[in-house]
Parts: sequence; C-alpha cells; structure tokens
Amino acid sequence: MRFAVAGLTHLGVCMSIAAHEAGLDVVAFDTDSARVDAARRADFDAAEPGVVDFLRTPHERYLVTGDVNALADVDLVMIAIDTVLDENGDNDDHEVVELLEWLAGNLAPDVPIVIASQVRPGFTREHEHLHPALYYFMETLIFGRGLERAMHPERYIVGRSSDRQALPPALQEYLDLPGCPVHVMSYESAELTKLSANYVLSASITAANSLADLAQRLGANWQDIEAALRDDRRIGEKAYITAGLGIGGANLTRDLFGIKAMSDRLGADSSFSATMLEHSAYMRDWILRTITDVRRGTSLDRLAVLGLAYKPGTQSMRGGSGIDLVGTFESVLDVVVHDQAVTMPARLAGSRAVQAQTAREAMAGAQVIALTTPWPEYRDEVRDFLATGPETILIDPYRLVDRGWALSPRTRIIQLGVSDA
Amino acid sequence: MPEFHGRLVVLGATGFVGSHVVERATSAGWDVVALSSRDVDLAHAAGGAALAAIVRDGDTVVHAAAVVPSKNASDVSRNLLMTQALVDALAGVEVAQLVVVSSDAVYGSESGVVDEASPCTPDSLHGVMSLARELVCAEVSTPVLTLVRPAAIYGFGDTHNSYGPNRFARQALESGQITVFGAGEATRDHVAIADVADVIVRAIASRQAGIINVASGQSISFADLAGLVRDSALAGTRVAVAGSESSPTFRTYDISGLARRFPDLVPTGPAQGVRQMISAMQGSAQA
Repeated sequence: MRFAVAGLTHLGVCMSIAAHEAGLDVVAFDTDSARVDAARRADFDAAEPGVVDFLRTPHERYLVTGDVNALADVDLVMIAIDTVLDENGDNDDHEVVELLEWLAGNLAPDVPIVIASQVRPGFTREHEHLHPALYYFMETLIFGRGLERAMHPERYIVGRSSDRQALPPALQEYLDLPGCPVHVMSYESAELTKLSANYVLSASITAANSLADLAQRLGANWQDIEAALRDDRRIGEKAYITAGLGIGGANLTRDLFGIKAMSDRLGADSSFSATMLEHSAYMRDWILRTITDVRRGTSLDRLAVLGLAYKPGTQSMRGGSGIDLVGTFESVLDVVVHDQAVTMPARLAGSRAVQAQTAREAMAGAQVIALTTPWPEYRDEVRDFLATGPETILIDPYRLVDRGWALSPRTRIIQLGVSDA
Repeated sequence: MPEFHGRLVVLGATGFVGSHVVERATSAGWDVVALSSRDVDLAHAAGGAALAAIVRDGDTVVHAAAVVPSKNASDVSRNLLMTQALVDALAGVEVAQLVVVSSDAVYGSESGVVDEASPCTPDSLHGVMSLARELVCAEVSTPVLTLVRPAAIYGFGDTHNSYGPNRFARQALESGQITVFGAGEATRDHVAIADVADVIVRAIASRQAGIINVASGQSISFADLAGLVRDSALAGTRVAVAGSESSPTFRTYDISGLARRFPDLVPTGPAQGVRQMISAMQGSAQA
C-alpha cells in the first residue's frame, strides 16, 4: 500500500515514519516548501528520539516531497498538520481546511482522506462535502514520545460519516497494521473521544490537587495517600493523581476550554469545566501564596528560582512558574535564577533578576529558594547545599527533595500536599 | 512613599477609609483635595454641581463616600443616588483614574475561597448596593477604573461597631470582657485599615486598573480573634460565650492577585494588626 501523509509538522513526520517502519510505501508530503526542505535536511526537534536519525538516512520507500505528482497513485492520505492554539485556547484550523481543499481537488474521489490533525468536534462533519471519502483519526502523540506512540498505539479511534459506511480497504488495512484495538464510530464521537480522554485526566489531576491542598492544611501527606490510591485497582498505578501546580500542559487546558464552550453552546451544564479551570488557576499560584505567607515571618530580599523551563527536558518557558516568579518579584527583590537548559530572556531596566552559572551559586545566600522546575539534576545540588545547614526556606512544589536532607533546624522545607509539621 | 504628580480628589475624606487615604497621600507630599459631605454633599442636588466645579481633566478621584453598611432600601438608594451624582458631575471631564472603594460583600457570604475571579453573588443589601455602585461608576469616562474590594476592615478610629476586631477590642478595654457568639467557629479575613489605604495609594501611584481585593490572606475564627484581642489587652480580660452561632461559614482570601500587583506588600496578619490596634487605642485612652 502507498500511504501519504500531508503536513510535515511533528504529528505528520512521526506518523509517516511509523507507517514506513510498519512496511508501507510512504509519501511524506507538504504544500509548504519550507517544511519539505526542513524534513529533507532532517531539521527537527531533537527532543523527539529517533526522528532526526531516521530523516538523515535515505530510505527507498520513504519519499519527502512537495510534488503533487507523487500523490497520483496513493491508496490513502492522512492530513497530519498540527494545529496552532490561538490565545483563547481555540484551534486555528485554517491550515487543515486549506490542505483538505487542496487534496480534495487533486485526488481521485475514491482515495480516502483521513484527518488526524487536532480539530474541534464538528469539524469533519462540516467539511465532509469537500470529499466523498473523508474520515477522522484520533492522534494520541505526546511530545518527546511521538515516534514511540505512533509505532505502538494502544488503540485506534476512527470517525466515519455514518454507521452504514464501510471502511475503505486501504484504511482498514492501515488500521489493522499494529494489531491494536480499533474503535470505529461517528465523526462526532471520535472527535469528542479525544477531548474526553484529556477531560478525564484533568478531572483526576484536579481531584489530586484539591486533596493535596487540603492534606497540607490538615497535617496529612498527599504523597502517602497517592501511593495507597495507586494500589486501588479502580484508580490504578498510571492514574493522573500526582499533585502539581494546576493542570499542566497546554493540551489539557485547551480541551477543557473546548468542552466548556461546546457545553455552553449546546445547553449542557459546564460548571464542572469552569471549576477545573478555576482550581487550576488557584494551584498555579501556590508558590506565590507560599512566599507571601513566608514573608510574614522572614525578611526576604534574595529569592533563588531554580528552573525556568515549564518542565524538565524542554527549553520552553510557556506557562512555567519560574519565569512567572521572576516577573512578579524582579522589581523589588534580588532574584537569582538558574536553569539546566534555558537562558533567561533579557530583562527591562530596573530588574534585579540575574542568572547564576550554577544552582549552588543561585541558592547561596537566598532566604527563600523556589524549586520551580523538577530537573532531576537539582536533587544532588540541593542535597549537597542542604548538607551545609543553610538558614533558608526551600519551596518544593514537586517534592523533588527528601525532607530528611535538611540537617539543620534553620532549614525549612515547604512541599505541596505535605504538612509542614 | 510612592510618587504621584497629578491632583488627587478624595470624596468621603473624613470617613474611615477616606481619612486614611488622605493622610497617607498628604504625608507623601501629594496634591490632595479632601472633600467630606460638609464640603460637597452628593445626597443633595447642589452637591453634584459643587463637585463639577472642583474636578478638572486629569484629576484622579477616589470615591470613598458611602453610607455603610447599607442596612435598608433607604441606605441603598442614598448610596446609589450619591454615586449617580458623582457620575453626573464627572460627565464633562476626563479623569485620569477613578478609584471606587467598594466591598467584598459583592461576593456574598457563602463559605469558600475568594479571589478577583470569583463571581459576584451578593446576598445582602450592602452587597447589592456595593455591586450596583461599581456598575454606576463604570459610566465615568476614564482610562483607569479601579475597583477596590476590601475584606472586613478594622483598625484604630473605626466608628462602626460590627462583630469583629474593633468591637472585641472596645469590649476588652471598656469592660474587660469580650463576647463571642456560640463557639465562634466561623472564619473571616480581617484587613487592617493601614493596608487598605496603602493599597489605594499604591494603586493610584502605579495607575492599576481592574478589581483589587484587599485582604490579609490569613483567615481566622471569631474565637481565635477574641483570643488575640484578650492576649493583647490588659491581663484579666475574659472571653465570654453568649447565645449561639447559627451555621457558621468559612471564608478565605487567595491574595496572590494582590502579591502580583504589589510584590513588596506583605499584608498585616491578624496577630500583629490586633496588637497594633489595641496599643493605639490604649495610647489614645491615656492621652
């Protein structure tokens, strides 16, 4: 079978490589010549293991092209361009529409087109008039594990126009390749399944965060409770019940906004979505609340911020609590910053924020240390530093630190979900 | 002290909040026009005209004139008519900033955590009045509208005798006995007047727009509050229990919004604030 992937962003590149590895003839296609060139040069996010190595190696049955003629004899086309979030958390799907219109005009009517891009529910139905054989395919890739997830899917979820519509043989063959369960349903159900999965995960996170907030005030330890809950088979060891600073990840939040907007439009009660979003905003301010409490008893003029990346392993600061703290306090405190990978952007005049070369240098002399990114490297750094018995307050939302490391009574460790007593 | 180069017009300048704002702004060397109801009585037709003759383009106006708390429809109407008179008086000018001293009563009295994003669900006449007063002020032509919503305010010089720090302190100093209803379990956030005035002055200096809740961030039960007052008052002060407390509610403020706007402001906690108030009251009694 000859399989084309249209749209060479993260999703498209991962899906195309996985299809090649499963034995298909692959055309990796884009109408955007810049993205075609990037794929040819193997210019791709290095944080996605396997992709750059694959693209650097010539493969006989893997063609990167922007040439429409290469699509002449394909059996199946997947639109896999990643959609961009706008500032309201809405999907900007104009590239998907343009690509779909372009493909529909250039392909035979019986060649199935499968939309794997992230689109809002209702999108496929609204555009089914463009092509007689249009399907929706739910992608489940995760940044940093994209290729692995594309090659070893846990299940496939496919949307079709109606129950009476049989899947075309090429699509059926593609779906059968990995041997995973295949769920075939209506467009709307398949599109909503994607949001539903994220919604349920957000609900788990919100439950954990609510309980961790309570546990800390009650004198309990959420970490102990969490471990016990994971042994409950109804909850499970992979449950999203680790407490954190709100619902991390732009995708989960985007889907909460999406479900809320849809519920409001259609008259379904959206109060649960609103509550989760509100609670997430409340948890995002946990460090700020903690610092305010701390300042009632401690004079603070030097704050160490360990971590600008929003999570370990990335250079993105988007939504990260480290850069948020810098912005809040840089005009009134000495803010000494360290990150394993990120260089702090230039500050405006009057800023008292500086970047230290080492974590140790950032921590030295700070009355308060905020561990804003749980880089694993910080464990040793902090343990060694605490061994010197510093008079400091360590704020550790991710519970990276072992409380036993504080050898001196002058060191105080405040952790999310863990009673201070 | 924060710098400010315009002219500040304070309405309600002899009230509890207004007088502290005037004092703070004046001591910072600001150009302040302090107006009380004796100077400009917004409750009467002539008041609006008098105010219109005073306020100029580019002035910053603090609206702290109010009958508080609003206990009945007359109080509500009077406050709204005064506010309408203010809005009408400002119709011909563009003020640089309008600061409305409102109230956390706009959030209602249910248990829970309150922040600036909390919905307004007033369940008292005072809350309805406060929200309506804010909405009336939204008609004023200004690039910076600031709605300041303090939690329950306390401090030396407060003439209201509502259930809380001031009443407890007065009872302790006058009779040596503080009276708490029932178990006194309900929790509230009590904010020191100095912090409220401080936030208003800072909000003017840095032209902060939008909703600003002013609270201590440290809620306390009435029983614990009575204990703080007892411990700060003369030895021998007792806490007595009277009547009962019907279905107590528990309210907490998330003040991270305040920390974001004013990162060097650490609001006074109840222990410190109560101590300061009582020593000021004792000092004034001796003087």
